[in-house]
Amino acid sequence: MLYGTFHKSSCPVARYRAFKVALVISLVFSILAIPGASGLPRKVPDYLAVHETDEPLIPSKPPMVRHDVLELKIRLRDLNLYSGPIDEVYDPLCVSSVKEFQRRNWLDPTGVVDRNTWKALAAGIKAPPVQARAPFREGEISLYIDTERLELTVLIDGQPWKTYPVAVGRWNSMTPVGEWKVVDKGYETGGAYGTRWMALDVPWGGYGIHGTNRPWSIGSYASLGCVRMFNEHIEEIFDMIPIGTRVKIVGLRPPLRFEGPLRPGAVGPEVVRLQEVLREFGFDPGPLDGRYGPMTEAQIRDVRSLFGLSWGGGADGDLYVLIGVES
Amino acid sequence: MGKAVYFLTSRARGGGMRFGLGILLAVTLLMSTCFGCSGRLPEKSEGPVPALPPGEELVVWDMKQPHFPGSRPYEEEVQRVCEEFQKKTGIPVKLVFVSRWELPDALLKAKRESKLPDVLFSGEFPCLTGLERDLAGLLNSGQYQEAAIAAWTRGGRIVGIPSAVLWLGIAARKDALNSQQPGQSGDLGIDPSTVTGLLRSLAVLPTSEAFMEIATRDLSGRYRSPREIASFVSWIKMNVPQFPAESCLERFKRGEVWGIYGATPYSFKWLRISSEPGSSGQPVLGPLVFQGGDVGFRFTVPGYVILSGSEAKMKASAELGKLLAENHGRWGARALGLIPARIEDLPIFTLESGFTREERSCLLRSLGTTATGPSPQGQGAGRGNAPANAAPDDLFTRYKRLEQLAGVLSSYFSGDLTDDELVEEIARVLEGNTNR
Repeated sequence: MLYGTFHKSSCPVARYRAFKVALVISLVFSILAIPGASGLPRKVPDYLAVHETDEPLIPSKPPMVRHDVLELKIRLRDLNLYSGPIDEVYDPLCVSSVKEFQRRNWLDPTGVVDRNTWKALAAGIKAPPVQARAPFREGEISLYIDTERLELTVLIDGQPWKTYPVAVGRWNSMTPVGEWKVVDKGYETGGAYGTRWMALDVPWGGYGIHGTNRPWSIGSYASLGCVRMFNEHIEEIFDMIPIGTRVKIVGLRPPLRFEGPLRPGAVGPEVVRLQEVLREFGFDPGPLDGRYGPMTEAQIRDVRSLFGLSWGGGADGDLYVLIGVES
Repeated sequence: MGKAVYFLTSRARGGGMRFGLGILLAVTLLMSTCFGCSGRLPEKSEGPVPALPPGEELVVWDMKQPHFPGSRPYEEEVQRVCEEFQKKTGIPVKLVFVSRWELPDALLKAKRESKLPDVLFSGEFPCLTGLERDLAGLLNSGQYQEAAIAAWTRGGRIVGIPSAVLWLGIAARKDALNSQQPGQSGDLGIDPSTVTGLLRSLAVLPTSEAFMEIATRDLSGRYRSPREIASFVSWIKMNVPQFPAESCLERFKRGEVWGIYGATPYSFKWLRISSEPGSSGQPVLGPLVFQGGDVGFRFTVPGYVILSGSEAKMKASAELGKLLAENHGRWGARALGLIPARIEDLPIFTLESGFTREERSCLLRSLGTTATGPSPQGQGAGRGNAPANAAPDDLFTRYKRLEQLAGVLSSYFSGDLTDDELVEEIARVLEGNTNR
C-alpha cells in the first residue's frame, strides 16, 4: 500500500512524506524485533554509569584527566600517531595526535573525542570467533570470570560451554572477586557500554558486564572494575542470561586490610575474603557476596564457640588469626 | 610372560606351597567377608534395617566441622557414610548441614511444619529437643564408654547415640610448663599435681562458651547454683590473672600469654598445628583446676538423636545414627583428639590423636574418674537436671541465657560488678528473666 502510494503519487512532497512514514514504521518494527527489548530499560542505570562515560574528551587548559585517555593514548600509539607518555592526561601532544587521526579519517579535526571518533578508532577491530567446547543444551546457565586469565566462561549446569576474552579492572580499580548475581540488564546504543549491559549485585560501587566502544582494550586490565566484552560476544550470550544468573569472579584482588572488627551489616572485599576463608575452613557462609549477613554471622559464631573465643565477638583479631586471613 | 609361566609351574609343583596358598586364600576370604573390602570393622547391627514405604527418606541434620591440615573434610566423610547406607539398604538419605546458631530456628520451624529430621547431630555442647526417641532396645550400650552412654541416659532411657567425648582443659606453652616443672621437657603433658602452680601464668576468656560451660557445672557435671557459680568465677578472677578481651590465640603464640584456661580440642589443635614442632610455643594439654584443689577435665558428649515418628523409620534412623556416630568419633579422634565413644575405636585415639602417652592417659584417667553426668540438654545452665520433656524453645532460652551470662561475666571481670551483685545478676539470668 505504501509502496503503491509512493510510486503512484506524482507530487515529490507527498512521495517524501510517504518515504518518511515507511522509514518510521520500519524502525519501530526493527526495535520490536529485538528479543525482550520492550520489557528492558535501554540505558545503563545511574548506579552502573559511575565508571564509564560517553561525555566527549575536550582539549582544555588545564588538560582533562580521565581514565579513558589512557586507552585513547594506547590506541593512538598502536596506530603510530602518538609517542608521548601513556597516562590519563589529555595533554596537547595527545590532542594533536587526535586531530591528525581525525584528519586522516575524514572527521572534523577538532581534537574533541566524541562517539564518532571512538567509533573510528575501533574501526577494523573484529571480535575473534569463539568455539563452543560442547554442544549447546538446556540447563542452568552461570558465568565464571577469571580476572587473571581475562576470560569469561559460560557454564551450562556447571560445565564450560564457551569462553570469551574480556577486559577487567586495572590494578587500582580491580574487578570485585566474589559470587554475584545478574540483577538487571539492558541495551545501549554503542557508546562506552557497547550494545548490551548486565548489572551485578556487588554491594559496593556499581559493577557489571558490558560491551565497549574500545575493543582494543579486550584482553587487558583496562576498566574501572567492570567486565568488558566485544559487542558481538555480549550480544551472542545476552538473551540466554536471565536476571538472577550466578556470576562467579575469581582472580586478582586488591590488598585487604583486616584492622578493625567486622560486624553484621558490613560490606566490602574484606567480607568476601572472610567468607571465602570461612568456606575453606569448613564452614558455609553462603555465597561469597561481600555482605556480612545472618549466614556469615551464624558461621562466625560457630567458629568462635568451637574454638573457645569470646561470646558474640563477631569477626575480630582472634578470628582473623584463627582462620588465617591477611592482616 | 616367561616369568608368569615359571611362577605358575613352580607353584603347581609345590604341594606344600599350594596348601599354604589355599589356607591364605581361605583366611583372606574369611576376613573380607567379616570386615568388608574396605577393611572396616564389622557393623554391629542389632537387627536388619527395615524397609521403608516407597518415597520415604531419612533426613539427617549434621553440623559442619573445621578443616584441619592432614585430616579429611568432615562433610565428605558424612556424605560417604550416608551414600554407603543408602547403597546398602536402598533407603534414600537426605543430608543437610545446619549451623549450631541456626539450629534453634530451624528446629522450631521444622517442628511447626512437622518436618523434623530423622537423625540430628547434637553438637559439642549438646542441646536436646525433648522429642528424642528411646534407643534402649536398639543400642548395645556395652559397645560404648560408660561415661559416654551415661551422658545420653535419662531415667533409664537412652536418648542419643554418643559419638565422642569432648574435653575442656588447659593448654600451656612448653616454656611455661618448664618454669613450673623444672627438668621436664614438656613432652610429658602437665602434671596434675603441679597444675595449680601454673594458674598464675594462664589467661582465661571469661565470656567464651567453653568457660561458661566450666563455670556453670562442676567437675562431676552437676549444675552449680548461682552462688556457686559466682564463687567459682570470683576464684578464677583472683587466681588466673589475665583476661584478654581478644587476640588470646595470637598472644599465646607470641608468648605473651603462657596458657589458656578453658581450651577446647579445636583451639588446642589449632595452637598445636600453628606453632613450630618442638618449639617452646608448642602447647601441652593439661586438666583444669577447680576450687578446693580438684583437678580434671570437663567433658561433654556430642552424639546423634533420633526424632523419627514411625517405628520402622526409627529403627532405620538408629542404624544410620550409629554409623554417623561411629564416623564422627573416628574423625574427631583423628582430627581433634576427641575420645571416641565406641570402645572399639579407642586405638584410633591412641595412634592418631597426636597426644603423648601422658596426655592420653591423663585424659582417659580423668574420664574414668569423672562422671560426665547428664548434658545440659536444652535447659538453662545452673538449673539442675534437664526435664525429660524439654521443648525446642529451650534452645533459644539456652543461647539467650549464655549471651546474658557473658554480659554479666564481662561486667564482673572488668570491675563493674561487685561479688554480691554478681550473685544477683547470675541468679536473675538463670532464673529465666531472659527479656531483660
